[in-house]
Amino acid sequence: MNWRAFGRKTVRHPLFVMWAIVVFSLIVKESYPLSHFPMYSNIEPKSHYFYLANGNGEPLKGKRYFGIAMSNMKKKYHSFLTPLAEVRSDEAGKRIKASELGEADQEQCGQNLIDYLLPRGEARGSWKRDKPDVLRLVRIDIKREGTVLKETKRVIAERSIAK
Amino acid sequence: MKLMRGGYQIEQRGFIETFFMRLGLAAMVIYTLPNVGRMADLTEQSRPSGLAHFIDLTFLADPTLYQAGYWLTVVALIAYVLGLAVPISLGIATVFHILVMTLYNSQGSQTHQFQIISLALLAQWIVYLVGFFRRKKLPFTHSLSNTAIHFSVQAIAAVYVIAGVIKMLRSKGMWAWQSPDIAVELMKTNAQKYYEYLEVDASFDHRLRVATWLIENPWHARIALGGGLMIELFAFLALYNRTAALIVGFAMLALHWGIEITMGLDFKNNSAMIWIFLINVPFWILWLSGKIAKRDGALDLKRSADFPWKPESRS
Repeated sequence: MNWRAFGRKTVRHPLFVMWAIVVFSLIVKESYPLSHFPMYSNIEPKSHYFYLANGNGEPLKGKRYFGIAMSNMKKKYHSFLTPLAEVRSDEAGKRIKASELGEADQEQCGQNLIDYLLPRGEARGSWKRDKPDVLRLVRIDIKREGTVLKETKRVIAERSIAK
Repeated sequence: MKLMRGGYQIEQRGFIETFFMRLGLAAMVIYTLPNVGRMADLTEQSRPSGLAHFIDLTFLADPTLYQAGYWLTVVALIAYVLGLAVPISLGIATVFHILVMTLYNSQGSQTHQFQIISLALLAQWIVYLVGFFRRKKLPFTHSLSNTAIHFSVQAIAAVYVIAGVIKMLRSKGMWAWQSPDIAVELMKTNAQKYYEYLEVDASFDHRLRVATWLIENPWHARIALGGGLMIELFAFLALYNRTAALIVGFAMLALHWGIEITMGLDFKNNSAMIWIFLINVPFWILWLSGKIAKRDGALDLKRSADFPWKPESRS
């Protein structure tokens, strides 16, 4: 087989660029401008989200106080979880997923998120005016059981706020 | 495979059609570049993506530097639309858009709104780079401008095929079966929106209704959402010919419209790119004009889109 001719023919195929982008993107995953576009690629009967609350558990206006959408806050929190999972994987000598990290690690990442949020709040009048005594990061897990959706609540991290 | 033969050829495009495609792409680049205030916030890259692994791109957050790059890009895009020094002008726009969006996407929360534009730019620029460095013996069978547009359409189709293939891979082929559980994601979205301002808007009730419908009508949901998956997987059919591009383009718009009314996620950049490169209204106006004038083919200028805009017979 003439590999050179085969290679030339392949590269000149009118769909070569498209398939090359598809294969390369699936290999490198998130590497701008390439992406493997993983949103909603594996739909499960469960999901989770986060919100911010005060010391009494009353929810706070997250976007108003910190200028961040709750969906982006979740991504930011996960951006702390993922590298920590890699550290834990190295320590354990086996792969540990971000979703398998223990409560202490989750709290550490929650504190990292609060570290990220507070300076954003300090730049906003609404937060400076209405600061609560305590800021909590709360996680809600949603699960479908039959035709019913059930929610469970857990505090991931909290911090006293200096007035 | 018969579908893979016969069609899928690089389209012969006239000056006007190519001009409007370039104009559309240039407008998308300018539209998507962040304003200087937003860029000034990007002083770190907490979760690097792409080139940000190797280069600290936070220098782009400097307002003076960013504005200089922005206006240089605007000038470069005008040159690109007019076909002037395309390897350089398109190169400036491509590099600036990719660097800025790489930094934007390195903030910890990934977004997928801009890849389609950067990839379309990059695909075109690669053609012009190859054309520049191998100008004595061009490896392309068609003109650079026609090949470049063809590469862009491939990049756009690739974005959809990837989204389809990853769904098949990660769900082990069960995506359509699992799709009614998007209801759980809708309720999550509702809750996330609520906790931003502790308010509910009209979209809240809408998502609740859609989620309830999905859970109560799983087979209807599988058919509807499975259809969307098919559009993604077979997006490459858009490259078969112009009519296929038109049909697939409208199917993709329908997909985005469906996602928007169910999930509340808008894909305006993708939709705009579909209008520019697949639906391609200027061509169909020229084609219709040609029909009315009883001419052979579209009423377009058979000139190269690149300076010095020489007359072209074929390719």
